[in-house]
Amino acid sequence: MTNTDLLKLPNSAPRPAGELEALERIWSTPTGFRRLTAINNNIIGVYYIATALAFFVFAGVLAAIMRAQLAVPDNTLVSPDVYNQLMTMHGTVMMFLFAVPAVEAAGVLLLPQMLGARDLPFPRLSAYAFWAYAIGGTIFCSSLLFGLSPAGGWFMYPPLTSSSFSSGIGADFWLLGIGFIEISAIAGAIEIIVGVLRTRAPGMTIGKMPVFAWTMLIFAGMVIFAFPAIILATLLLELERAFGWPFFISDRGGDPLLWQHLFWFFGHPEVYVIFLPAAGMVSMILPSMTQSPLVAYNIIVVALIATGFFSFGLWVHHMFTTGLPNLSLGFFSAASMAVSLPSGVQVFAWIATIANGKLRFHTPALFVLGFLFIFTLGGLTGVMVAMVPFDWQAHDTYFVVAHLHYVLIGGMVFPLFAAIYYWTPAFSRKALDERLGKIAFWLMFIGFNLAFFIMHLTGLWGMPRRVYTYKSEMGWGLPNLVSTIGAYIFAAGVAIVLFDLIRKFRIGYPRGNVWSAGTLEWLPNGNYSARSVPIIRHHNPLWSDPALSRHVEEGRYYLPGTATGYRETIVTSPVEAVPQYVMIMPQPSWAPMIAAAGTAAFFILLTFKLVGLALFAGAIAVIAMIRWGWDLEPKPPFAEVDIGGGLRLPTYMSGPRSHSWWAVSILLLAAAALYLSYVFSYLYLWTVAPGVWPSAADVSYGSFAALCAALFIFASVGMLLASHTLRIAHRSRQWIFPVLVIGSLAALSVGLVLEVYGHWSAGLRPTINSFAALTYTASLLQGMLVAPALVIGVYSLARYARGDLDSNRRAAFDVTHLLFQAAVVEGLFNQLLVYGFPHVVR
Amino acid sequence: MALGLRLDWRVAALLGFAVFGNATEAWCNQSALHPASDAAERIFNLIVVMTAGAVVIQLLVIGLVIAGVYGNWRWRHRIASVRFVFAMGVIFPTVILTALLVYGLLLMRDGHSGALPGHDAAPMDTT
Amino acid sequence: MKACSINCSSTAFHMWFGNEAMMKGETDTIFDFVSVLAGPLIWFAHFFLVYGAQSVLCTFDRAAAVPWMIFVATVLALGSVAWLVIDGVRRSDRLIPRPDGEHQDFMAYLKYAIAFASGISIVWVGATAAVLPSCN
Repeated sequence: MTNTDLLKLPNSAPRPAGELEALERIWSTPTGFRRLTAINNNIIGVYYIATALAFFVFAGVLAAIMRAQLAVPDNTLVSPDVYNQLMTMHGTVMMFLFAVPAVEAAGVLLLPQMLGARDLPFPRLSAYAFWAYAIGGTIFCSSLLFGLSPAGGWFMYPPLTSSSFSSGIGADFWLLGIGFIEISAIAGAIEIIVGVLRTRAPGMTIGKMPVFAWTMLIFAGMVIFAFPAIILATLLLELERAFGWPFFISDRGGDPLLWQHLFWFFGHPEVYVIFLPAAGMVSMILPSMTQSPLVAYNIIVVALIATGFFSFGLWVHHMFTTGLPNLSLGFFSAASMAVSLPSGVQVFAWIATIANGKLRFHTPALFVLGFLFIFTLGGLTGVMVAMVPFDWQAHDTYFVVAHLHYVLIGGMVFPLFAAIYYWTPAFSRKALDERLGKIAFWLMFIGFNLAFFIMHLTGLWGMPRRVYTYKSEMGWGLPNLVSTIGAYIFAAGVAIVLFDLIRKFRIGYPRGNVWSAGTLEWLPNGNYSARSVPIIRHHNPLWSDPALSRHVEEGRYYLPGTATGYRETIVTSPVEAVPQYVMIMPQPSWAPMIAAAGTAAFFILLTFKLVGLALFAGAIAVIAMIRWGWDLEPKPPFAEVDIGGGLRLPTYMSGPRSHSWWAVSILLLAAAALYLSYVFSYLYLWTVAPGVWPSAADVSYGSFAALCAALFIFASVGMLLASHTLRIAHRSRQWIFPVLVIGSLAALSVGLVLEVYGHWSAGLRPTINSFAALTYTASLLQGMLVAPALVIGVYSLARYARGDLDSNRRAAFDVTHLLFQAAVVEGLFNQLLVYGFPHVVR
Repeated sequence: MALGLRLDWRVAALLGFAVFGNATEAWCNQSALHPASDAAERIFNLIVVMTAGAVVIQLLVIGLVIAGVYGNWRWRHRIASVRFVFAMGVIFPTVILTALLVYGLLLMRDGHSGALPGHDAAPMDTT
Repeated sequence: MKACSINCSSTAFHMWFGNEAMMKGETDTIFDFVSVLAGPLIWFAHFFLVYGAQSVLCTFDRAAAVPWMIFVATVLALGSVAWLVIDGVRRSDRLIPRPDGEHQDFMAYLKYAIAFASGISIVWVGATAAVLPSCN
């Protein structure tokens, strides 16, 4: 209900000379070698998806070798150990280096344009996340060439993956390599949440934003809450392997099942993390293919949110055969049924959309139809395995292999390929070839079903998973041969698509809106996305206003040029998309890439136990990050700017409304999820081995608890005072602020060190039993918040000294403060848990 | 007993369909489709019911897509509505899944028992 | 905190959606979005309470308490969710949304519709306790 006349938009005057040129200049991509410093989502998004597809091919080749080995019984193409490495790498690379990054890449590439923003809110962060992934992932994959790959399955269960049974560094490669790729995913998730909620075009209320934006928002939320569980699990297993801290070793109070709980608490949401954005892509592609708006948009949004939440209640359905009580299994069976409801309702909404319009059988539409067929079948077999008695027969057989490939390839790969054909004209000078696309689709569809449908029967006939060969008497030879043939036909289809992509995809002025689509990513765009940011009133803006493209390109909406002279985008409120301020964004730089290389090197060198070099690499990463951050808050030339349509907005925001505050808060949610996973592990191991917990007399290590808590509280008060001082700062009171900050940081650090010293001097050693290991882990987790608080605290003092931190521009300090208080809260909870709990239970 | 006869017919049909397998002893011993105990037989009944249901629903979805693309105006108008989405996507699955869940829970409760007459339980050794 | 700091009197700014709150320069916050998630948060709490309590009670051989605990948790959760649904439906006039969401508060719809979905799951999870024994 906006009053257009009073808003004076679209502007009628022709735009001033030089405005467009200035915009193009500030957004221009560096050329030549300096292309690597680019941070624009157009560039990074393309690199990202290309890298993901490269890993897809790599893991696909591994699968082709596996299928060749399994094609006939008693085959000797590869040895058992090599086969174990192949199947572990296939699963790991597909899940961690292809599936999640591919949908994240789609978000990076598409979201800003789709939402009417100029770029993602933290472009250097997405560049960092990409380079960390590309460099780390490549090194991880290369482990196969040296025979150093992990061989414990993609889910890496202990005790097989404990140091006694997996003594090489393969498992460490997985734990450290994948562990840090998770961190990259969390960085991407923070970016996407802030991007979707805060940088939409004015007027694009949350109820009018495209479904893909909803799915990316929910994807990111799920990553924030699910991924910390596996970060904790990998941390614990690596501590066990490297230092002997017994979390999963039964005779010292650990439990292998703890790993399974943590892994699958991550692992189940992970597959919905992969599926939901693909469903979002289908919801964008289908309306264009049928030229009809999406039917039941509201129901679809409800379904997406419900799926996101319910997927957190399913994890034990991967553990139905571990001997847990039937009632426990029953809860998860019921929840698994529940999650199929929202997934299923979307299928009917898509069918309704097809019926509402006229489907044109272009290649994207074919892939969507293929998706509907395959994913529905996969969902139905999913309901089957959700039934506990059936799962008792089907668990660890090829039935599950069939099911998971139906939902993952059907539910994610087919929509991804539809998206490749659909969105290429929006980013590339040339569209892809329709004829080749259709051939590729049929090869992929027929090959896939041939390969995997028969596996349902192969599994019910008793063939177990993860076997490198089988005896011919079992009667599984012919089904396996059929699967292998199907797999190679599927691979041929994929090869055709990739061949056409390499041949045709060229970054440059886009081909244009060839599908007559209705959403904003189809506006004419350049590096700066659309020339001006329109006001949104309907779901499909290009359909409701045919003149929109032309007006936007002529600069007749908000922000037709660069108001501050820097790269910028409009920040809006989360629900109603009311414009709030203009965010100044950074320029291309080497720093994110160097930081990524340093981070990757740090983790990989630790895998090889070269600790000194690892620390050196880590230091380089931290220095690069400081350099990167230093450019992030330039003094804006004006306090307020005119963005057109009579609207003036501030150029800087501090406090809870700022995007940096949001980013740190979301990071702290992830930290909270990590901590809660730890608390779960603590309580779980206590129920498994309560005898290992100390009796009341033995809780002598608690002497420092009160002192530590007091130090933490003292530090917290100090920081609060420092924050207050900054708000009322006058130049003459310069010294109070640094003194408070340094004192608080010191108190926090001393408290933490004292806590660890208290354990050690009481004779507690982390290798004794699980209780001891968990006690030290509490301090380690707090340290993981204290360390960045220290680094960023010193950084903000440096900025303060230079005059770049004051009562208005205080983002660096606010970031420090949030991390700091979180570290304090965690420290206080630690005292309660580690000292209080044993007193209570004995 | 009538039910038992019908299920035996299904076993025979499935075995007949399974042209890929050689009906050797090894194959029979490990196949979920060749139950050798009370519990496995009950699970086999569940498999049959669920497979039949899955086939029906899959064909239904395919049929609806075809109707959506090629159907006449009246069919498409019925399908292209929020009411259809709610009825088919919420009401219909809720009813079916409730029934299925209860079936599965009852099956879990009734536990395991020994081998069926005429079959030998698979020998198990723990070393 | 006001969204505009200096030019709050600009006509353009005040004309955003004609909403009184907007006129004062206040805008919506993240809590307006999170409140929509009340239903699934109740589902989440119910699920973890039920699973966690069952695990702990069974570890300490208190099997008899389990069905009662689950029953109480389920009744409470279902009651809260039912209140969300009924309240939401009362505010708008129907459970099934209008085709293009016109004349309807989207956030209010989300709140009660997701609550409804959560209710189905709460019933299913709670019902398992009526069929299965507590600890084996």
